[in-house]
Amino acid sequence: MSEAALAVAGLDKRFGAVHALAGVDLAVAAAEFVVVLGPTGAGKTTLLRTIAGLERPDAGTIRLFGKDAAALAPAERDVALVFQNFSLYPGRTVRENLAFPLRAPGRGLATGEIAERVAWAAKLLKIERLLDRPARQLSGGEMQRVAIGRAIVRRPRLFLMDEPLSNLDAKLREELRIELRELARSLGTPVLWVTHDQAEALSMADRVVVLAEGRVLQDAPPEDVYLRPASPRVARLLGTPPMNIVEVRREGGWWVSADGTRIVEAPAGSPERATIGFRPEHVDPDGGATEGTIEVLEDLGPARILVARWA
Amino acid sequence: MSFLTLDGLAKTWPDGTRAVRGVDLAIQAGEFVVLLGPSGCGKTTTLRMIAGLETPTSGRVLLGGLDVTSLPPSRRDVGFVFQFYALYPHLSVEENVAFPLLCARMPKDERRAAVARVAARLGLGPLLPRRPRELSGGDQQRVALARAMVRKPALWLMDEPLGTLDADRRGEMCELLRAQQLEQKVTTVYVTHDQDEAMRLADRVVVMSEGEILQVGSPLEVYDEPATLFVARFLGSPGMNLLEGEVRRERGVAVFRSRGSTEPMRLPVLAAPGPTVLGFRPEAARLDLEGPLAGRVVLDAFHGACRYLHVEGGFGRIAVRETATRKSAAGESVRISIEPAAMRLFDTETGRRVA
Repeated sequence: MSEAALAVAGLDKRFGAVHALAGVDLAVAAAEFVVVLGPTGAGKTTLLRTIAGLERPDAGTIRLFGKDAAALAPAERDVALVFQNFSLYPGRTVRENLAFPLRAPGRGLATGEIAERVAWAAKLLKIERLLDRPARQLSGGEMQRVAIGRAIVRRPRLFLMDEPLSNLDAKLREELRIELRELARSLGTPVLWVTHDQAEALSMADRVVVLAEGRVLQDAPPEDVYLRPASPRVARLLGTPPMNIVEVRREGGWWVSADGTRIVEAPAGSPERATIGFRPEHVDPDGGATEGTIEVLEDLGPARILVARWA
Repeated sequence: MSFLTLDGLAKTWPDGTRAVRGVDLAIQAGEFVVLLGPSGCGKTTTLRMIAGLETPTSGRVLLGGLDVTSLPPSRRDVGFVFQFYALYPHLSVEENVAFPLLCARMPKDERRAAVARVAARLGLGPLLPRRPRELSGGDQQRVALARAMVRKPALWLMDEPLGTLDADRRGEMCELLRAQQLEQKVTTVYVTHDQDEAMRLADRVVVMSEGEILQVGSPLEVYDEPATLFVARFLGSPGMNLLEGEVRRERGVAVFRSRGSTEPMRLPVLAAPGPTVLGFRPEAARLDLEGPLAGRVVLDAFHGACRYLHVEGGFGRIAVRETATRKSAAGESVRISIEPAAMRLFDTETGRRVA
């Protein structure tokens, strides 16, 4: 494999008594889309800010394209950070907002080059018709498109996205999820995307890094994280509704629950006690030995969820 | 007679914006009604007019048969819930839950009794002396719910109460809220832009756009039988697939030919020939070597229990719901067929459902 775009090792960061990052390892390969998934307070934002150079780690290393980032100022890291709470210049037009990062001193881009890049980004994000509108007249979704446009025009080598869709309406979130995933692929720029939304993580990621309390709980492709969770904690974080988890003991070749209900046959040589987990979609309500009563039935359109109680 | 009636309710802002353009709605006692629509559709303004927080430009609000249009909020007996999250960190759970009663100047004994009742219902008894930060996220939510429910008004009005919660907490909260509402039988009007919440909570969903009601129906009705293209797109995640094309009569049967696709699709209904939009849900489409639609996979989005393949072809772009194990690579050529019973037809001009 070619050199990683980003390699983080043993990253540690404390804020007073809060251990925000407790030894985080992760890597993003060239053109890879990696999603860090975790609940509020997991350390996701601190992780991004540390990589961007806005926070200094207490321990650990960050390598960007093979270089130790400790020696690089934020501006030299050539990464673009997009926030949940995007900020635009409200009185300026979309065009001016997009051009702004390119006019920064030291960039030395010709006027023609700037116009070209603005037009390119506007086309990719489908905001061409908005170019001459003041930012304050835009809807929330349009503003976030412009904010992402501002990150793209610079053509950074790595995108760091901090819950960029969280403030948007559900419908818009779903549309942008699909659009931005395709955009990342066509640009070929690696992305580290942070979210608490598992649908975003599963549907967008090449690889999901599950983070909780500053630690990586699992780092694997979405299918593995979902179907082969590393721990009951990960199992419960994913899936709507989440994985069913039952404490069982072995009895006469079966796994049985605390009330004696047979759940599933226990393979030979299984331990005496175990915690078993199974996804709702792998339960067949019309067959099998486990009896129960349906308590709640939720029709969600494409799927129907039954909440059943056994015994 | 209905419990809450909105009669030609309209609101025009001083700058001329018509936020709500004549809404008629009748809500039965004990019903859970969700106003669903994107930002700016007028759902929150409608809710605020029911509460008395905005004065309608025209139209009436009737509560229990009484015209309350000109009554102040305090005389309408409604409970307005904004967001469930914000607990006072310096107050105990008990004080947090009692807070709305304190504001309503309820005597201390009654207050204690009311808090004890709601705490028992939500299993919060042992937590009453604790502070919010000592509780787990789930317990904090139950406290917030208890606080919202400690008063029992004639009508609950809720404005995106789950908006700020993490996605995985929202489902839990929906379940709790619905169970409580069913038990208490308090008529509820709930505003959200999130169709998933609407599907889970509502007896009836009211889909709004640009200040107007587009459709009122049970969650499954608005999902399966959308009245307009807007409703078809807005419900579902991803929304309904829509193909532009034409209905024709060919060899005695009605067929649909999509723009840019060669093979005709036989329609299960008799439809008038002419330009038409064909709609179908992603779960009504499947990969099928013999299928009439040919395209390429542009995105394979895994969703845990299933995956959505986004396919592009001469017909445009559609999403196909497939089994979780049917992994696909971008660029893969596929053919797709559609379950005939799930086909819906819309008028190209008006966007209204025709069959």
